[in-house]
Amino acid sequence: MRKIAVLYSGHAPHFVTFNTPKYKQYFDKIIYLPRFAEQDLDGMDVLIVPSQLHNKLLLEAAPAIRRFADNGGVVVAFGPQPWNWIPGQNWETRPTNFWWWLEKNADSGLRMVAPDYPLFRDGFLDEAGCTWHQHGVFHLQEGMQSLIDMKDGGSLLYVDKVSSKGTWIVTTLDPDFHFGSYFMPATEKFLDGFLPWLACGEI
Amino acid sequence: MSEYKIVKLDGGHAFSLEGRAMNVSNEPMDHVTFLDQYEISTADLSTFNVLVVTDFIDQEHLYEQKQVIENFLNEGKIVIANTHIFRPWLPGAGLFMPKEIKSHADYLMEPASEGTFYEGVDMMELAYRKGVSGFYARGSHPVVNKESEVILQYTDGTPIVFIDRTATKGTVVAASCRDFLTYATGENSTQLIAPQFLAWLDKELLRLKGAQA
Repeated sequence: MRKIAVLYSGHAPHFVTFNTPKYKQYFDKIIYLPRFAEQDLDGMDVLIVPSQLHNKLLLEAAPAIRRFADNGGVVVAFGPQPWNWIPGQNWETRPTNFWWWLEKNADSGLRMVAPDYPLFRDGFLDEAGCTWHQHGVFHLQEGMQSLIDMKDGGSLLYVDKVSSKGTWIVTTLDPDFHFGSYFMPATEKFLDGFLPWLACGEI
Repeated sequence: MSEYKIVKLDGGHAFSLEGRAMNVSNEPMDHVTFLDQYEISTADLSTFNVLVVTDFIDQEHLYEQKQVIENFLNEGKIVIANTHIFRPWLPGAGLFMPKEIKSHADYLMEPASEGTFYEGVDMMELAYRKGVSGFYARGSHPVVNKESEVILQYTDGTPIVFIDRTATKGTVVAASCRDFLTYATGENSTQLIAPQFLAWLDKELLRLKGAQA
């Protein structure tokens, strides 16, 4: 099992998500962001950087996070990224359609482009488990691999094994927020599959 | 001239950039001063008489700074909590408990007292958006002091919004629902909440002034 650390903002959705027993068991360390120190990552294999962190604290921690990936670690980033801190980051904010599923011929806009990637191939997640709404997309650089695209362009979820010695797994999805605010059952499906994959799956 | 001088803590997070995502309204809030959440202990709060805490605020930090909040209240001021409280930083309110939901009707609400900022608000419009219920509130904070005034509750009597005037010399509004200030626009009666809330603030501040005199 990989050792997983997660950054904790101190706000209510994160408190609930990271302390829910079925998820907490996957975290070797829950690191309170205002007291984050680089040595907190010693011995960790994976660092989850959740959505909706305080921008100044995130940007202060970013060099240490990048070094963690440069040394072979796996970094996961959830949610909208209006501040540049991820290698090769190209984020585009888009209006959020919370109600696409009520439209005629409802289309979430998700396009699975890597069904053979172990996350999906090995049964940890499927497209339905990644489907709620989005706040934008990422545009990728050469060498980055999108796992799920959006029909109007851009990626919902991608893996970057070229920008560092480690791996960046980046998604616009923000299950850490929605699950912890008691909202959107699909986000629970996502975490139920994604965390076991991070711990035990082929990345 | 309004009595209220509102300071609202800013989480410094992605959604705070545009006030977007879950807010009902993206209207500018000229009547509100935003303060970075980590400046609560160093900023001069003396010019404000209403402090608003919403989602995405670091409650570990608020708990460490609970004396600042208590001092603010003991100056005869108002603290509004529109969030799920999980650390005891707010006098007069217990910790959040999510509502047990067996049916969407379990999210239905009713006013629990007259003449509050829910006057004229259709409770079905508050509970449902586009046929989906549960947007407004998904749980509750236990009332600590039985003298507290419950103003909104689920139809089973579980409190959603209550006012405590006994824990401190000020007024606490503990609310497990969405930010009152964002219910200013929209196409239905829920837009009454923000203006009526502001009018209530003025009334309450005058009452507090009177109590201090």
